[in-house]
Amino acid sequence: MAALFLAPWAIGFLVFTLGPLIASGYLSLTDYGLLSAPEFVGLSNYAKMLADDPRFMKSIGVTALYVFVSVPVTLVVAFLVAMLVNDRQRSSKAGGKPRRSPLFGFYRAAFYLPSLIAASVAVAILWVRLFAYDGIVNDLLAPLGLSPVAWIGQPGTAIWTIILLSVWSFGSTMVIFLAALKQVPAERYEAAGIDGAGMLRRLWHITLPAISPIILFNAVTVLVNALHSFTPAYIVSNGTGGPADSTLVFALYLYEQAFRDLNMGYASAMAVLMLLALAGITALIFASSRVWVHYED
Amino acid sequence: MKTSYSTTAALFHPRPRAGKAARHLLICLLLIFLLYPLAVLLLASFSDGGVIGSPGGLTLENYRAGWQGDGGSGFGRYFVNSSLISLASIVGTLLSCSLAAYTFARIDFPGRRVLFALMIGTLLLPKQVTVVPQYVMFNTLGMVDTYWPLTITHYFAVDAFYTFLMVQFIRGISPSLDEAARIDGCGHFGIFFRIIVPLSFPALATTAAFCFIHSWNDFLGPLLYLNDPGSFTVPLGLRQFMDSTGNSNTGGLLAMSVLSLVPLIAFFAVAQRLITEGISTTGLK
Amino acid sequence: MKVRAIRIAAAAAAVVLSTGLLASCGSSDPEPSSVSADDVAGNIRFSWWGSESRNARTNAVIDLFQKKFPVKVEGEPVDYLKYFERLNVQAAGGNMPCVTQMLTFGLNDYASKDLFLDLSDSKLLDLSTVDKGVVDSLRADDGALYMAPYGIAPSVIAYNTAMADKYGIDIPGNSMTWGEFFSWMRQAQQKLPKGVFAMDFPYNTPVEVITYLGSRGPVFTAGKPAFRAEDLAGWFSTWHELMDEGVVLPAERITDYTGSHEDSAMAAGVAFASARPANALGAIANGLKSHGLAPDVGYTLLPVADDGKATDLLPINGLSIPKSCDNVASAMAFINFWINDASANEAFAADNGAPTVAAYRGKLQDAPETGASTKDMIKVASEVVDRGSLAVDLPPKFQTTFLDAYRRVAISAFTGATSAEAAAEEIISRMR
Repeated sequence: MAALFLAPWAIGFLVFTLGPLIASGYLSLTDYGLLSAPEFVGLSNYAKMLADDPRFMKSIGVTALYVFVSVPVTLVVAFLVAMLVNDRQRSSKAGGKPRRSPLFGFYRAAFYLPSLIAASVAVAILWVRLFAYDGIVNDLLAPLGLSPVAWIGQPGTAIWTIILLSVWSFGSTMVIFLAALKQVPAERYEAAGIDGAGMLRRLWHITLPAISPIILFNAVTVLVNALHSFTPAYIVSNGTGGPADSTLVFALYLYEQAFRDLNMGYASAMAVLMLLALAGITALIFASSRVWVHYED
Repeated sequence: MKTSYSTTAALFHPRPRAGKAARHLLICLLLIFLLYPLAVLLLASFSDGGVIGSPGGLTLENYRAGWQGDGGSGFGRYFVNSSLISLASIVGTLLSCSLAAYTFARIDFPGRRVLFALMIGTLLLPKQVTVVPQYVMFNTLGMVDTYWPLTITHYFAVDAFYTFLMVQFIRGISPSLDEAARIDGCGHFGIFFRIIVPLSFPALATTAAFCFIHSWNDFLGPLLYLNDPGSFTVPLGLRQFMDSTGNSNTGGLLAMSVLSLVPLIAFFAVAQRLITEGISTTGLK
Repeated sequence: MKVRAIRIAAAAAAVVLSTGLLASCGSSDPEPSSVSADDVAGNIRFSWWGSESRNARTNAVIDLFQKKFPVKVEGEPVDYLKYFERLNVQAAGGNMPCVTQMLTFGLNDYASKDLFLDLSDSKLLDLSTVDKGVVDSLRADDGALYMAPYGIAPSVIAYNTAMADKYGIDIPGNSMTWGEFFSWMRQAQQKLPKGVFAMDFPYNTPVEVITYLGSRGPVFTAGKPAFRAEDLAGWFSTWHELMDEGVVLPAERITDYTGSHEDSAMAAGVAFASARPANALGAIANGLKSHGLAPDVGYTLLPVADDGKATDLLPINGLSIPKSCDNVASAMAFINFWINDASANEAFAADNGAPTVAAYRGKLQDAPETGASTKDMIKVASEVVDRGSLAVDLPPKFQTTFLDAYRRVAISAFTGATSAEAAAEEIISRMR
């Protein structure tokens, strides 16, 4: 029965995932410029990456900053806002339909809105016009006596506009939290209410354990997405990772190597390294989840 | 007995009225901050010339010209194409991912942990490097310039994101219901369709919403696999407004970008009812 | 059992993929000279870069061609930024369109990999009508021609005519030297109001820097960098000084204006002048208009060497036929039509550079329906072709490595992250 249920996934894995996966593993050992056949070069891509590529090292640093800031902020903000817009729905013991404010439907959609558009060309133009030297943000800050800053053009500030763009689209993570909150059986809170448990205690003893599988999911996917993050940096830096490589996140550098410098072999080696690093990190998260994730089964 | 699964809003109980007002105030403040950039975008889409931040007179011309296009097939066509692809993708994802997720979450079979790890592993590889091998494969299969490369993978649960999401949701559902159903003589099919699917409505709706957005916004896939402008999707259509070697139409771009949000919002409005209704588990306990 | 199945499938997939990747290059070469007019039939794919307005003009040419020949042309428009990314993936799959738009900067990336047919000797494609200098500038070392040139788009110094009138800025003639150019910018700045810069740094194309390097000696020979590192360093430090003096838009504001021509600093009224491709004059005028400014754009040609010799790098757009094409005859006929047919030239109206056939430049110039900025561009192209341009042998990977490195390193040098000398050295080492 398991085999039957799993068949579509297994076929998909074998046909669409495993082949390309093995191909990139092989390509990482080659010199491959897309325009001619790959040439086997052994481990030299890896050697170059680790010993002789300052931009690779730079991109690791940029990515680390990006991940360390954007992942926790996105998760916390998404969770708090999900709590905030999760409207009260009294259990219908008294009979009749539960009372709910139509406003909350609107709120949820509104918080979700930025994540729908964050990857589009329009936002590429928008973000530049917001954070340009003579842009809208500086206009808003001027009455506070702050002198204008070229937010996107300076190495020190550019990465923060990108982090902001990624946090701005926290709505998708929020929706998943929201769905999880809805799955918590109401009677657990009712039971706790009888015990007179306070807000924080209820959060700690009921809500968080009940949604812990989804916390695990969001933690893993937000982290993976942040490490793979490409679009915000591409959009804001116009694809360059500049100024002075200050927004050259790992995936952007990988893309540059693969499609613009036509070093697909090198890019594949970068991808393999990323895969190994991520596998290590996620294995640790899953191992730790035995302690803090509470499954019903 | 009737039970409603719901909410942590009870957390904000103590002083209902003052707390309620403060909550709405806080939400509105956050929204002003968050939606300000979109308001700027919306205003610019109605402004003459489409310059962000220094609007000319208000006009509908951007929408008119953008919708008609100039040599392309017109934007209506792109909306239809994007809708078809998204719809096909959602159906496939819901079917294949929920089955796979149920298996991973509920059926104990040898090698489950290994396969689950493999599934998670596919989440971790940067997509940029699988693009070329995949293109070679679809080209060999003669599928370039069709919608197959954009939809078929969804019928085989290839995007681990959705499977993983559903696994986590299903594992949050109490297995006591499965047990009860099993005692009543249900097999896995019965449990899946009669217990898990109804109980996973928030998860299914979330998955559908995400799948819709991913398909609708996907740029690289259509860029590589679609040749004929008549088959283009909305993101490809938007790209046609801009070119660094010739004339660009920023006004049209902004207008159509705003318009391209409408189906996403409409879909979410429907899906979020499913997500947030909670589940009435009448008759299950 | 499962694991074994995976292993077998994996091996099979690997075999399929590696043959796929290899198959993309080792195809048998069609002979361009052996095709005849009888073979012009069937379907061909044609890809180009451009936005809506160019797509409309291109489709008009395709319609004209299809009326004359029993060939169906399947058009594939892509915007410029994504065009080459897409083409490279297509190349990897052995699936490039039969008629592939190319340009000077990228040609050698593909030609050096032996992906294109030599077009110099074909019955169906007549290039004797095209300016000889333009054709010769594109020939490979062995005389082969891998791209049929159709549009010339030289760069000019565009300037804001309304500002020049208002603030009394004199415009130098077409033969100023680079030194005279820089001092002109300094003088203009003294007359301009606060908040307007005389110029912005030429960030978008490599044309200006190579024209400058050409004025000081050979730039590339035999596909290798031949310019002196101190000349490139001098280019960076000169612009850096101009930025420090407030004559040129500061480095940290460059990225605010790197989108379309309509969003450039000059179009926003922040810069008086800007080095731009001549076919962007119309787009800049549109941009000025949407910023509420007078849409009048003047131009002067790029500066020349101290001895008066012009060294313009001439960006040329053209059409190539990949060796993987299965309908060479139709592709040849289409390119011939595109370049040599009067109605095609009229319909396309020089949308991507001035025609390479001098007669059609004259015709468009005289036609009343040709736009003013198109006439300007055609005039520039004729002038630049006449005064002689730089013969360069661009290295393979020029498009992929030089421009990216140039932009990145320029900003680093201006923001002080690296010295101008180190910046120049980095570019040279990347080109090797």
